[in-house]
Amino acid sequence: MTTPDVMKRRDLFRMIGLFAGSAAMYNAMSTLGFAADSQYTGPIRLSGAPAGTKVVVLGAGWAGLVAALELRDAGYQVQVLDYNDRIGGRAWTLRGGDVYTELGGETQRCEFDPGLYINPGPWRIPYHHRGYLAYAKRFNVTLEPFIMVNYNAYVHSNQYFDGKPRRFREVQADFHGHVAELLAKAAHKERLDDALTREDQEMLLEALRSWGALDENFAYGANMSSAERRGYEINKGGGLMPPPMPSTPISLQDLLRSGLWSSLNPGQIHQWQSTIFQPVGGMDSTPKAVGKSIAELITFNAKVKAIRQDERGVTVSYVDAHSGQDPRQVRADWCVCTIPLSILSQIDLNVGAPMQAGINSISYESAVKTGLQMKRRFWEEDDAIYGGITFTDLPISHIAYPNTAYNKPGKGVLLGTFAFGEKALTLTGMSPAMRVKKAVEYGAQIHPQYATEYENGISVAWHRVPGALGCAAAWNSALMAQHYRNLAEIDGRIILAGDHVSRGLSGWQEGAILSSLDAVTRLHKRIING
Amino acid sequence: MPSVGRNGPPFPQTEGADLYASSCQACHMPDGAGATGAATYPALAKDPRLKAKALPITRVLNGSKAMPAFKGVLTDAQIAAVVGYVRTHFDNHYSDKVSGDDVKVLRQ
Repeated sequence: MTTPDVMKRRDLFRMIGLFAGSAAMYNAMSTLGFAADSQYTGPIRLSGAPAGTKVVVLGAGWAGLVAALELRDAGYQVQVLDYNDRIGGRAWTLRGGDVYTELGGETQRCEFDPGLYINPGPWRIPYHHRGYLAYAKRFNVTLEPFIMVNYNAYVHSNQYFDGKPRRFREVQADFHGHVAELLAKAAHKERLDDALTREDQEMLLEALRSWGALDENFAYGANMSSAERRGYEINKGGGLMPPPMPSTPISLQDLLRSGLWSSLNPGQIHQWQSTIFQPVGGMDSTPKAVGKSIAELITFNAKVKAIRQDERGVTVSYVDAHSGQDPRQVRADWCVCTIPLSILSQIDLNVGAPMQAGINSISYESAVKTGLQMKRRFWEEDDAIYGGITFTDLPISHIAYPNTAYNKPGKGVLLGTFAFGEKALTLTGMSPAMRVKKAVEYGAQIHPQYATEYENGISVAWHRVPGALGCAAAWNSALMAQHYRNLAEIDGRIILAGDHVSRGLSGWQEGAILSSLDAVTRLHKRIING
Repeated sequence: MPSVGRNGPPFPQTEGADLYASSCQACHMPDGAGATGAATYPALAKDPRLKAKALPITRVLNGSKAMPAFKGVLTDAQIAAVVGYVRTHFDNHYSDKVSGDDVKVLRQ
């Protein structure tokens, strides 16, 4: 057996990469201090724009807002175009009364009660997304905790435990406990002698006993020690209530075969570690607050058809997004283009071959979210689940509980589907009504209360969102190596920004913010220095 | 070839119609009409580009622009089935058979 300190770091990375792909590789590099936490370095405070210099910013999502705000503050003349009729792009919130028409023409009207909402796009702000947090603070947006790991939420496999959900705390305690017991056995049988000194093994054994809730014989079983982790059969009480009784662990074989252990991991990944935030009232709160100060610069319902640059400037041609008529043009000295590559790859654009090759090479991820209004907050009242996420191998993939208004009477909205990949693509192919119906059917396998408590729902499939045509750019390391720099460099008078021009932050608001801060800083320097 | 995980293959369907529903109509729409928003999903209905089967097979295998590659999630037989389906439906009438071997030779 090889000890970590004699294993070359390169070999360790290779091994992790083989097992779990590039995401794990990045996470491992973060852990060992090779990758930075956040590259936000504070407000950029550009100044000294040459008089009368005009920049056209395409897109009023996070990247466009940041570019417009910072360039306007630097003294540039700024005009913003956006396809949507609202600010924020994918940072979007659906509330009662909102009407949404997806590609294909199906229109949904959100029937949620006042105060209830879903965030169809991004919904989590990690503590280390410091660019986002800085803008939220600067524009007085109130944040509240987003619960990523809820020990009392469920992990669920449709094919194991008779399809009955298990509590996160049970699965985590039992998985840790069994693994600790196995490792303790190996130590006792002198199987770790090649790796550790006897003294270190003694310390390891104590650590395993504590970490795994093992008993005095280094065994994991039904006792008060494991009950303190996985929960009690009869919980603690007062007076003459019955005394507490321990609960019975799930076997290691069942845990391994069911795959429930895999749901323990997301909350340990850097981008999902506590503390995570959400803006009070909906994800659109922050872009709306940022956008208020530049509202007069934005033209909505503008569908960009062409972006043509010459030696002196850039001409952007656009039409009305709804009618396709009323062609107009904007002429500017420079262009910051934040249009997603799913759309930009179809726009008439004269950039160099390397940037165009990058634009044409990135596919877009699939994602579906479905919100379900329930007559009462049964997940709290019946199941003691306050916020957080249930993980399931059903096509809905997640059920997420509202991280606000805890313990209040009345209705609530669940996120009844949050699916990615092939599951999302298949759900996207269904009508919105069918997606909602499926969310209710599948969810009822975990929460039977759906049958009586469900009232109405709304579903957003990102490949059907008219202003996005996909969830986020699907980068991988090979594409990164080939195209990333070519997309990020200034091409003549055009620079791209957005979460698609970020390293490892595709689909994250922070990716859009950092990309935009970097883009306008470099553009400003180019303009000033020539 | 796609790997089969604990929960089975990414797309369990085998028939062309079912595969179209689960993997294509998200973007190309149930009637093959495509759709247009800020950009366009091309229509597959009445599409003369489907005449030579190599083009749709290559598109499904490798993707194109924002369209993802399906070579990692669909087998040769599945791609043959779904391409055959599209070439004989939605007002397309290209009846020469598409086989798994046709896909195999084009798979990189």
